[in-house]
Amino acid sequence: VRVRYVVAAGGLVIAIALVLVLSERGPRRSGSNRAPNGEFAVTLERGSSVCQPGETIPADTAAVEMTIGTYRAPGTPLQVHITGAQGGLISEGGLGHGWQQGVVAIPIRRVPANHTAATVCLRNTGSDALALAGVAPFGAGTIKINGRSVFGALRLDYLRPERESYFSLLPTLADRVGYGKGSYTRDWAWIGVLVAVATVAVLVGRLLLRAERDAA
Amino acid sequence: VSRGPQARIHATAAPQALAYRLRDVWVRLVRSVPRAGWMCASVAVANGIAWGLIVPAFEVPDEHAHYAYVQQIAERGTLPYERATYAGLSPREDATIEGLHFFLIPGTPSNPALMNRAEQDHLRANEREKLSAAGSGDALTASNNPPLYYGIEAVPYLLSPSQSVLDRLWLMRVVSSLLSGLTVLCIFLFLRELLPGTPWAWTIGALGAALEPLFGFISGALNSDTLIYLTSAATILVLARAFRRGLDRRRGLALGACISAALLSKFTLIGFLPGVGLGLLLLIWRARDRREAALGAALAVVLAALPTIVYLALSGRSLTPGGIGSVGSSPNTGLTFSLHGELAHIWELYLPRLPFMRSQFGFPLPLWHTWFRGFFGVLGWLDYSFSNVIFIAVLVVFVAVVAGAVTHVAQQRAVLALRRHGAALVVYLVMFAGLLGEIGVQSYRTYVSGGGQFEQARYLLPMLPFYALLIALAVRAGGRRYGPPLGAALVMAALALDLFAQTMTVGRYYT
Repeated sequence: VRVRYVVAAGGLVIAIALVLVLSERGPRRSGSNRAPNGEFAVTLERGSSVCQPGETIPADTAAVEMTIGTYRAPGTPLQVHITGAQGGLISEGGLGHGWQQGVVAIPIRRVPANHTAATVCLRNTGSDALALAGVAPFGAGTIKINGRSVFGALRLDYLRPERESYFSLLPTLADRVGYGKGSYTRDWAWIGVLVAVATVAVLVGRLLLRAERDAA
Repeated sequence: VSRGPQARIHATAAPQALAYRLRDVWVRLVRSVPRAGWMCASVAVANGIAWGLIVPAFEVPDEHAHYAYVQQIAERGTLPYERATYAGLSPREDATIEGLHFFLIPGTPSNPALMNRAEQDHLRANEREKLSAAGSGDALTASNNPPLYYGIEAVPYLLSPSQSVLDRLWLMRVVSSLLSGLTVLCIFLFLRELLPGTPWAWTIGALGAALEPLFGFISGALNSDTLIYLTSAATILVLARAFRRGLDRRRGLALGACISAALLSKFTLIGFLPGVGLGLLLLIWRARDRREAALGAALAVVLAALPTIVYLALSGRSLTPGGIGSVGSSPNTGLTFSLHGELAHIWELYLPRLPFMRSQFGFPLPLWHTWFRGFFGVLGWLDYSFSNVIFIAVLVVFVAVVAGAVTHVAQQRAVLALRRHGAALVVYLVMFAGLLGEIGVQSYRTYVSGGGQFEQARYLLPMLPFYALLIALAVRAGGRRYGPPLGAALVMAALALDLFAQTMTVGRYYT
């Protein structure tokens, strides 16, 4: 068995596996508030509302994802309103009857640009109580339940408009790899990763072929 | 009066001569290493750089603490000290940590790194504030570490034209990658010493080490472990050379320098000392010129001990903070130190628990959970990993590699070689046992004092040369005909694992 065939076959297997992984479609996040999600922090009685200020709403958000308990009953209507720092409406949306408890994506009108210091409000317009996951208390974070301030936070993840493959997410991933980097690498971090990985692959290939020559 | 110009000539000629001599030594050193060795080292450097670009800042265990240590040396010229209560690091590092949402990410796999422009803009605003880089003196868990690694990393810190924490961190990560390249070079040369007749096996073994995912992950980070890996690989290399060619003054000096550097990087390697001591005794005993060997050993001991003693005396620190043998109990754990408990803890850390032992871990088999899984793919702040299916596949390959290596060693010629290398093998085993024991002692002390989990698979990476040796021996079992393709298959599998670990890391932090 020639080493070059093994290297070619190995490269092919890696490429196929990568394509399979990158083709996987699913909901993708545009952002998150990173609040802990380990408990039901708020019970939202019917007709009640809860608002969480200080949220960053990323561009390209089309749903708010939360963990919501319905006490095993079918989900009842829930409205979401997102307002900006000046009080203007950024987006809104909601759920109707019949959704299932668990991790729930609440569709909203697509948000085209980033907004900081936004307030996300949820209103239970149904007939049954809902339990919203998050944490209480949580640092200096406050939420308002029917206008009353409570120390705590709801866990909110923001989702992009469609189910996407990682392939279609690649341009976004390239940007994200550059975030949190300094000026030396911010704009070319993803290129640097590709160049470094390609260097590894080429050197490994050459070394293996060289090893075969050494053994001959 | 006439001596003036001559003295000036000598004054300029002497440094020139020294420079030429050093250049000659360097050129000879570079040429004495096969090109494949440098290429294997380059693989490790490139892989480390890739990891360093993928992993978000401070998302490697204790990286923020290591940064604070370097900052303390570079900004204040003093060693850090552990404060009883957390008082921040430096305003600049603290602002960067806040902008990165750092404290919300480790330990919570569902929490991503920065994901959008708004978060990036917030971080940039923090960076633009030009806050002070002078720290509180605290470097958290790194505070008690010796300073060698941080002294090296202070060079890129100070040379960086940008004063941004993130820019300096990246330069320091690159230096770590370079150290990892040298580690792989030492591993390549170690295999050359042990398997001189099969150059292709050196390459396979060294590549196996270079592409080990945990090693790559740490290689791309600001972490003193990278210097530990280099100094331990160099120690093992020098010992192998001494066992093959004899101990003399030069090798004694080299061995002493390696151990000294290891001890001045992190005290974890005190576990190596019993094995190295045994090695020196055996080398003297086997030597034709025992006087020369004894002189070499004496030089090794003096050079290893002296800088460490000077450091300990000047810094007022101890080899194991808190003392050896006992540790205060924590009211939170309700546990008290006992020798029996410590021995049981060390046993359970690596072997299946015996019926009369109390379970000391929250999972049944640390050998699998902590060491095997950790070695091949539990990354970040130990908060994400491959699925069990992947680990089981890796286990199958690993068992096959071990079987191949054992088969090869069991062959008649290999048995003869084993007899030749028997003394060295005993020394390596004692070093390995010493390292495991040292990790076990530290783990038990942390356990009793309620400090959480100490043991991590990265602490095994000082033994990476033996992982490479295992691979090299296994592929040698295939002989000249099947060995190279078998080795190529193993290296491609290692490359696949490394690439998927990187892909998994992108998924963990950026989706």
